[in-house]
Amino acid sequence: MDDAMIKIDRISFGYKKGEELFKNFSLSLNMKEITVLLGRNGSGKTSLTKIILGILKPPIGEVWIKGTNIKELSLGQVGSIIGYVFQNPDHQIFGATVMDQLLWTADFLGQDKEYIGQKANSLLKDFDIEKLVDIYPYQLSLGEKRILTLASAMISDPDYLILDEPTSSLDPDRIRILSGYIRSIHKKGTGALIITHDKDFAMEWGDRIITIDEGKIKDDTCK
Amino acid sequence: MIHVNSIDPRTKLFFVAMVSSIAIITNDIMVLIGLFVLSIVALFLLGGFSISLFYRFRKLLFVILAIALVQSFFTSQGSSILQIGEKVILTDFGILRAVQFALRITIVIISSLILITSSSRNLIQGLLQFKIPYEIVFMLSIAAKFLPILRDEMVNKVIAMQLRGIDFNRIGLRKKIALYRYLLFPVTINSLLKSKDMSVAMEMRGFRAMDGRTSYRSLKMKNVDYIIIFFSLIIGLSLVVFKIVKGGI
Amino acid sequence: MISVSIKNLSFKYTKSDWWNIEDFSMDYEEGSITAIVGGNGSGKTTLLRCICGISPRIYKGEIKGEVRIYGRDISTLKIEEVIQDIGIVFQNPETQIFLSTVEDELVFGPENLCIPRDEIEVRLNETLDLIGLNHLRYKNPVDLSGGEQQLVTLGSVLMMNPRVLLLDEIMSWVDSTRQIEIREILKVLKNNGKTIIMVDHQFENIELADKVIRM
Repeated sequence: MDDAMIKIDRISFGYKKGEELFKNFSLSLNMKEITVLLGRNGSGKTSLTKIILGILKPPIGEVWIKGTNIKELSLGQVGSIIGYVFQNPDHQIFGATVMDQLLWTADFLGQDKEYIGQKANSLLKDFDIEKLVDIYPYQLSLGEKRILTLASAMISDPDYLILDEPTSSLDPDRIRILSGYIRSIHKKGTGALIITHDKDFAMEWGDRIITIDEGKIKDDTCK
Repeated sequence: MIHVNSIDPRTKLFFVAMVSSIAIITNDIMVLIGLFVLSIVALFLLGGFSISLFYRFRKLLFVILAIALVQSFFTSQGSSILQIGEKVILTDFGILRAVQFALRITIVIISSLILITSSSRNLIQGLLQFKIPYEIVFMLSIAAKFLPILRDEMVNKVIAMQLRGIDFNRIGLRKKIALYRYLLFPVTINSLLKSKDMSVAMEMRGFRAMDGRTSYRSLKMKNVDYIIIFFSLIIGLSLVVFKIVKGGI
Repeated sequence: MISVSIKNLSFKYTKSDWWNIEDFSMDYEEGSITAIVGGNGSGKTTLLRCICGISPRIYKGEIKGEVRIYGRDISTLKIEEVIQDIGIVFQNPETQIFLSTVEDELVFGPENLCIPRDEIEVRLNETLDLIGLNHLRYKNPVDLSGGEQQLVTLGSVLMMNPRVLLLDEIMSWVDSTRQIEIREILKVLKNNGKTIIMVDHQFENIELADKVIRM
């Protein structure tokens, strides 16, 4: 079993009995690469990510993250390896200010506050949101919230990112900042799975583009 | 099988109100059993009855039985049926009370199932045509709409928290309580902000702009509705008269 | 014909120290689409709020200058008059949908305006055709995609027959296929003589406009 791989091994899964979304489905993801998962609404993209994270548990088949079976990992442990950014940023905003949003987990995770503080500052700079530091996150625009949740996912140095429709509703400037950031962390060895329905964005991106429809892989190309 | 959609929701509201009120007032076990059978039959005829119901409600049934037995345990009237030494555990009166309680609760539950056989929009229209003010009905429907959304948000937040690396199994009780702040605070603020946005949108769609409002949908009672209401009244009145004649409810 | 006329408009929110809009003047014509662009805080949303009157009515502040809709000063109009002339669609469909079927949602506005049932029926059928959601008429909007929900919101506002339509970043939660649909609908509305003023930042949406204003 390779290190730095996410392996989905012959899973079957359906939301309703008899209606199976995934049947004998397998997929391997290189955690150092940027992979794009392309598909319409309902194609199974979001379900697949939930299966990778262990939120949904397929009755048949196995999922392995870095050689460990996901059944042996709690969601918290998965979260320290994989950073996940929801499509709706409101699901992940917890803090009373932007800074609070980045720092609040340090206490609960037993992390060194000074280190986290520095990390937060450099993230704020990289994402160009320093001026928003003391603002109530709920007052931010959608684009700003998106950037904030991405920064929050990065704060604990995950090995891999999963981003759900990161560019939807972002203006071109923010998309550029986001793309730039993903590129720079990719260079440092952190890959990402980007879920999108935007073909143009996919084309510009993925080292590897997987097209999924109705729970099946329709296309899998590497640049 | 009577077609579910064809019974006016107001008929169901009337039936359920009548059955529930009598069930709560009366102590007569025969009456309660009668009402119980009546509501099960009604639910069956409306197509709301299925074996899977028992499966889904089995936990609830246990709870009801447990409460009923506890009640009977604390009732010391009547002649004892079961005792351990000097301590009376069950009396006949106690068991009677327990059965009454269980029947009452079950009748109320079945009544709600009867109501659910109508779509929520029809129920709301029924309430409106009963002359309940639109504002109240509207608020009920918004609550009904947003409660599941609120619940989803909480669920998502808990997942999101864990995905930030927080392992619920590994943190102590005090920290778990501290986590609640991070859960409730954003949900509350979000709800407040959303309601502000919603009220703006409602106002710009004319909500309460004028004194009355017209209604696009309207429910019309059909013959079958009047028949059911008529028979419900007859049965209800008979039960009451029967009680009075027998001497006291 | 000029439908919306703004003269020397300035607006300052109650809690703010600075004027969000300063001395803004512009006329808008019937049968046109105007796009308003600008960064955060540039006053775009405030402008839309002032045009339909929710600033200062709901979003309080100090207002100077004049906004006229078809010649009438908006500050003198009652709410039921305002909404039959101006409709506004916001960014997030979730906070604009209250009821449990698409049909209910669409008729909500006209019901509030005491429009007679027959008239509502006519408008309902026309609107469902326009937004292309006949097949979703009895569906719960909660089960629809963001784009479909936004079509419902747009339809709900159109049901009140406003002559002026304000759109505040309505494409944010809409996927690209639906965006194309909505753009087509906006073109139809424009050809029917409606005045459309839209705040947006996406190139394809701004392309629709006859005029682009940067704030």
